[in-house]
Amino acid sequence: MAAFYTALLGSMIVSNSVLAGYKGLCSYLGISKKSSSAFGMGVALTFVCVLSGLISWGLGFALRAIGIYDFMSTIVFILVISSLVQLTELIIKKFFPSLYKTLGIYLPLITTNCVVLGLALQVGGMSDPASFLEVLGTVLGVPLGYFIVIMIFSCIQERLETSNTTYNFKGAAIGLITTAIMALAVYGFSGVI
Amino acid sequence: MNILTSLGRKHLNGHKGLTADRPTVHYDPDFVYIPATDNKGVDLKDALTAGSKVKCQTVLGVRADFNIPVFSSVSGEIVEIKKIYNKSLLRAANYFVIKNDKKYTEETSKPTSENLTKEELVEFLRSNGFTGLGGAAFPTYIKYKTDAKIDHILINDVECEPYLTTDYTSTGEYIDDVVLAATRLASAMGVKDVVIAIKKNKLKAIEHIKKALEGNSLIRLVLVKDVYPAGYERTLIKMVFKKEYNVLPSEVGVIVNNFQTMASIGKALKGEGRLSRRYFTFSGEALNSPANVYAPYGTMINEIIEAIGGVNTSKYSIVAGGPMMGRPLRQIDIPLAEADSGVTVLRLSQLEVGKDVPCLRCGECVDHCPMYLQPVLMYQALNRNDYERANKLGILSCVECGLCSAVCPSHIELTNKFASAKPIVKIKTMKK
Amino acid sequence: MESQLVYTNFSRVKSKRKTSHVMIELASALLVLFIASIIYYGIKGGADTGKYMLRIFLNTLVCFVTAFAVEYFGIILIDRKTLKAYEEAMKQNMWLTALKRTVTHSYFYVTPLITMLLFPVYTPIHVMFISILVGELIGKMVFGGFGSNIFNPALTGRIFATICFSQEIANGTAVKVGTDISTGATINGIANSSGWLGMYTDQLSNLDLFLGNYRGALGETMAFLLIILGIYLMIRKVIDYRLTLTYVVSLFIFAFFMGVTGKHGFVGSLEFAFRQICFGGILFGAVFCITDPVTSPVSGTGKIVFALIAAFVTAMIRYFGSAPEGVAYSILVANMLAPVIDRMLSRKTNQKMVYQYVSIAALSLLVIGSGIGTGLYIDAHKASEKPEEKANIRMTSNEKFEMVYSEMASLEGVIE
Repeated sequence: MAAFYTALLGSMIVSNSVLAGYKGLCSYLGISKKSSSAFGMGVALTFVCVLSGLISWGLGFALRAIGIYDFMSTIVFILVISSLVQLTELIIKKFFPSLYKTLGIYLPLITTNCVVLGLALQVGGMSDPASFLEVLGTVLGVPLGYFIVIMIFSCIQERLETSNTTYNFKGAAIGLITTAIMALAVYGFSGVI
Repeated sequence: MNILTSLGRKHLNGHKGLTADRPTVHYDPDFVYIPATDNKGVDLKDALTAGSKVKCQTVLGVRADFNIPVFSSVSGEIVEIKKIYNKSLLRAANYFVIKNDKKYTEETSKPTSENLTKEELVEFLRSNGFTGLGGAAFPTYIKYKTDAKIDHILINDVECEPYLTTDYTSTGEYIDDVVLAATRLASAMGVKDVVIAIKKNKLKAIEHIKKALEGNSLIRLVLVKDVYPAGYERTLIKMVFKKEYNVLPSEVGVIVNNFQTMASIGKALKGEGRLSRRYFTFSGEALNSPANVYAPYGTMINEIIEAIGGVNTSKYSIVAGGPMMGRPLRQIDIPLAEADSGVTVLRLSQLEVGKDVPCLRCGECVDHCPMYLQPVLMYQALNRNDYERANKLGILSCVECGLCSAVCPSHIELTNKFASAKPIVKIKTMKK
Repeated sequence: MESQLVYTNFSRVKSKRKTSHVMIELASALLVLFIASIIYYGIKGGADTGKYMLRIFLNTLVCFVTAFAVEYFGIILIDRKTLKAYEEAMKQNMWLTALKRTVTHSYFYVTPLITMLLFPVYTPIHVMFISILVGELIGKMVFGGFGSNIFNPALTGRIFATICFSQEIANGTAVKVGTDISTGATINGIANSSGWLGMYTDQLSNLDLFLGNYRGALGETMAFLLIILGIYLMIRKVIDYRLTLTYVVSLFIFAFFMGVTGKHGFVGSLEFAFRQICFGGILFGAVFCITDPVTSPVSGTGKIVFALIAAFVTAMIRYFGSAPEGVAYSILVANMLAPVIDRMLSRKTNQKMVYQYVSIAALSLLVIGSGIGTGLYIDAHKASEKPEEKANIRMTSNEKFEMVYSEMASLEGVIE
């Protein structure tokens, strides 16, 4: 059980995918204008990450058994991820049409989101079958970490709209600088878990 | 507890020494101007026409919105009905122009019976057209028409607005009428507890009240701290009775009336007719000799200012009421309404105009709002045109008391921004 | 005389106490602390007093000049429209107006003072320069100047310089100021290697700790002066008492419970907790860094929640993390969460009081619980002891230090 919590909190806070791994910045910057769309993006990403992470872990064993893991891993994982994203898109289009309209292009872009692919490669490389709890913690922790950061950033974006920034810096530029300072702040957590 | 919520009050410099305990000035104008429309601009029903002879307390017409009559404040003759600028409607509206014969002959009126029932009381208040003299001019009979159980009557002599001293000046003169009115109203409504509230530093008025209340078991005196906005209904009920209400004070069983309104009711109950003249405070550093002026309702402001000595500076700004909640005026040839407590004239050099620095987000405004709002967050939401967030923060509860702008160390104009944004928020949230 | 009625809708009653008064009082308190540390280094410097004074003077010069230059050019770039309007309306040269606005509207003197007090005395000039440059430019000016920044500018620069130049700050011998000032194990190094539960009173007595009779960053050592300044500033309403008191009290309680489960007894835990809050920049952070009004939430409950979160993160990083001191990192993390706290408390402040009470109670329980947990954890893991080291960190005049470094102490010679 300790492995689960360590992996969960570690991948959520200490090695956060956005702030410590610099992944997933495209949708992070593009979606976080309104917190309702950020919430929807986080939930969709969690769904995709958990399923694709577990499937990738399983497929990792199969690929290693055949012996083609080294060069086929990326392609196989991307196949898994894109099919899951299509499934998610179908579900969201049917049940939450307003969210579908808000997310727009960023929903299929989860396919190319570095967070999911990075998670799949990281988890696929875990070759110990007894480390299931650790894998579960990681696949839950990574999207939750992204979710927390995107919610925090949407509140910060709201505050940055009324600040006195020059015209050159408004929008994505000041958002990236803020993310950089947030990464500086989270750097202090290294070694806690 | 105000570690988490706001304190809701602050001591402000009252500048009361300019007009308190100074000799009052009596002024008799040649003409008075009484509005011929109600608060929405609709003309009065059964209005008298030009050429009619009137006395004090003659009915000039009946207001359509609350069905209460409008009275003349002098005896004389209606010269004409003219359009002049009305500062509540912010446009020109009809006014009765009455020539004052300076005799102030009253209409005959008889005293009422000692014991009134509640329905008789409500009808008495309505037919005599009593409206609140504290500044908001709310019809008094509607307050007493409530079905809720009333336990207390609170008489508001606090006068927290800086520069105004009209309630203070009239306390000694009218305290006996107030006691009579309070006794009759309490017996009619079945109330066992009447409270007169006054600030603890108004010593002369406290002496008058204590002398009049000797041996009275129904009415008691409560002293409140010298803070703003202690005279606001909500804050005063919280300070005296420790209760909070949602919309109306009758929810917690309290009715609040201004001191001078009670005095007017008392005089009418005795049979002397309601007050047609009152003390208006003309105060401010820009006046040569500020004073309380005893004049009839409807006197022109510029006449009184000239009569007491005029302005002593080259640029001045004038507000109807006090500097915190008063409305600035664009011209001074407009008449005083019944509910105006006075006029404050300030030098332009006193007002530090346009010297604001960026918001420090210190939270002083949040710690002092009497309605428990967060002005700094509302200001930010309005700056980015986010009206839903402003509504969620409760901007429609803002009473524009001006305390947030008064405590802000960066001198940001918060109250103006909220006052101009409230109609927009109301429209945008009603469209749903 | 000819009188003219002017219609203005501006509010007529304004506060006598302005933002510039608040900032000037804050700067004077910082100046008092600065002068006290100069006097300390002057008295205890011995042979190297001249070099200390020169170093302090150079650092001060670099800080103020850089801060002024960055803010001056920043204002010219950001407030261009306002300056042009002033130029047309009042016929003042744009450059002179910007000069005046740097002092009156942008309060440039606060950030360099705080930054100076965060570094030790032997910090090289280029480290200070980078720190103040990054702090002012990226932490404050790019966001839009005064009132628009989200993160504390002094702490941003401090962390940036620490991460880039940790070796320089640790060594100090790179600077030809003196050979015997910088070599000495820091108090953090000792505490870290001896497992944080020890009370090494033979190396640093309580009185020395309280009076600041040891070397550390310029502003962090003098606990008694910080307490006096903190109480003075709280009474004068320059800083908000809720932030300072919550932060210090929650760290005290955390350390108290840590001491109780670490078998120090009741009175011993009180002494332990007192020592824990007296060193390492907690008092300085509580009085000057966390109370920056621009970066903290607005409502009362928000401030208390903010300080509780900062205290929890400080304790976690200090006792478990690899960084030596968690104050700067934790205040930046809390600044990151301040807009979220404001957003969640976006309603009238007397509505839903239950949620406010519950959140404060939950966070306090978290602090207490983690205090107990930390004590148990460190107590259980005391088996892995490091070799004992003796390090005399009190500065006596004309004495060379002899110390034995452990691995960790040499890597963590940084005082944060």
